[in-house]
Amino acid sequence: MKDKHKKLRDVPPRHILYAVIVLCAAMIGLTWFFGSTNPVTNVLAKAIIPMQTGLNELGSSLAGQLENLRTLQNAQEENELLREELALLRSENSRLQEQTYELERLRNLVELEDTYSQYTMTAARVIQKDSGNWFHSFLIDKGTEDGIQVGCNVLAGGAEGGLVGIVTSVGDNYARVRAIIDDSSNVGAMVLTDQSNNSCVVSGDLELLTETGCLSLQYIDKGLTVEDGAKILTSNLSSEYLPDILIGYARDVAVDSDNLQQSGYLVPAVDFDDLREVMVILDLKETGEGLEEDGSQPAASETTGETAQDETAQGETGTAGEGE
Amino acid sequence: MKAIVRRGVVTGIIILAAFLLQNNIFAAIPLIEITPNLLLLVTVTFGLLHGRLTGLFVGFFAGLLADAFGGTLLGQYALILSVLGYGCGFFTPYFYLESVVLPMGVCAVCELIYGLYVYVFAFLLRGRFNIGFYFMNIILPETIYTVVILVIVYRFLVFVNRRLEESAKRRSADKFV
Repeated sequence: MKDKHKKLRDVPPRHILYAVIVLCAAMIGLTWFFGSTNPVTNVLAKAIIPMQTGLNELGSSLAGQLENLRTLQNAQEENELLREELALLRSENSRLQEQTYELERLRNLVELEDTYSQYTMTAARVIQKDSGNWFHSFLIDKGTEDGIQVGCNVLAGGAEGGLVGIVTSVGDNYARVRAIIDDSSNVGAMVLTDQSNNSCVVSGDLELLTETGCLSLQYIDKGLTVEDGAKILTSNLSSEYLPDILIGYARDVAVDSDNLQQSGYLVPAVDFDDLREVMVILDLKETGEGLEEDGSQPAASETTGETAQDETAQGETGTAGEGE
Repeated sequence: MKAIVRRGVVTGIIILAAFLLQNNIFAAIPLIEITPNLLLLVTVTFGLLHGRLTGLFVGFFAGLLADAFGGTLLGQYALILSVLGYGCGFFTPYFYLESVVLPMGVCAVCELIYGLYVYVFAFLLRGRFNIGFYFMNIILPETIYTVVILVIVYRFLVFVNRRLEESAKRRSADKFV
């Protein structure tokens, strides 16, 4: 034992450094080629996830206390404003309720089911935000044991839940969710409007997010008029996201400098600062029966470029036009 | 031999604590928009206190933990942290336990290198060229924040280290008497 120890001492530190670098490079290479869910994470997760669940409650309650103190000061001013708003909203509400009945009747007519209730969902708690300040992804406390797979869509809890992100890797008792505000996130989306050429793309942009708290909204057809506050939903053309999930609201849409398309900002519907519970849709987007290889191709194009999607969008608008 | 195991266990606990603190407590508080990089801080401190090899291993395991729960590729944080830990070991002969100035400087430089590393591999390669923005809004605040935390935590880490060394010395002395 002592001999072995001595031998270890005799190895120059430089060589050990090289060994570690090679080991790291090998691991990077392996995960690059064989996907992100790896045995190391799964084994570590067994021990660490329970600890995090407890600690996270501590962190959240700490954050809650701080938040309480701050909000108390603003509460009174806000109260008065809200009273005025309430009066306005009451009158508007009665008007809208009428319209809801009409909408429901029309929906039944075209056999569209209520947007989210058709999916099987499971609730999960957010147990860890990303370390560091570059990325926006988090861990939830459910995994394959609860039926979660890579590619599951994640919504914010509550009735009017918006899109939060997508599961990128999964272990037995945890899953990793990439939020739509992450810099590398791209979502095929559409503007809720009665016009037909309504496809667009919602991309996360760290620079934009830090400065304005918004996402970028791109590739909108030049002919489409998008007002501030227009609802942006996931598109049925997207290969990763289920259709008709609310993402957020459009803002400041204007024609690009190249005069080809429009772009603007998207205010997310979900408050990402205060995300504690999420709903995971267990159904995956169907990308064609028995055409798995074909299905994976649009997925790749969605994260890299949008040319393929634009083409399909053109095709879709054609058929939609015919339908009408 | 026992002393080495003991040191390993204590170091492991410190790394784990830094990781949990960084990901669960700091990240959960929305008022603090930037989280300090505690894993880097622990790596730098151990590298300075114990030299190149300890820095290398502490950096490797801290990075592996960050990779397992934060990275897209396993090994990307382990690589940069182990190299930085190793590099810190070169400054071991030049620093005194009482002064916090050298650790602050080394930590700041390491943070800058770490920030640039993440920027280049995760952002620049995807065509995000506005380095000025990322430097002012993410790298610099994180650096300042981490250095401030270092000043607070440094005494504690030195204290733990001294206790471990004392107990190790006492044990070996007992053995020979």
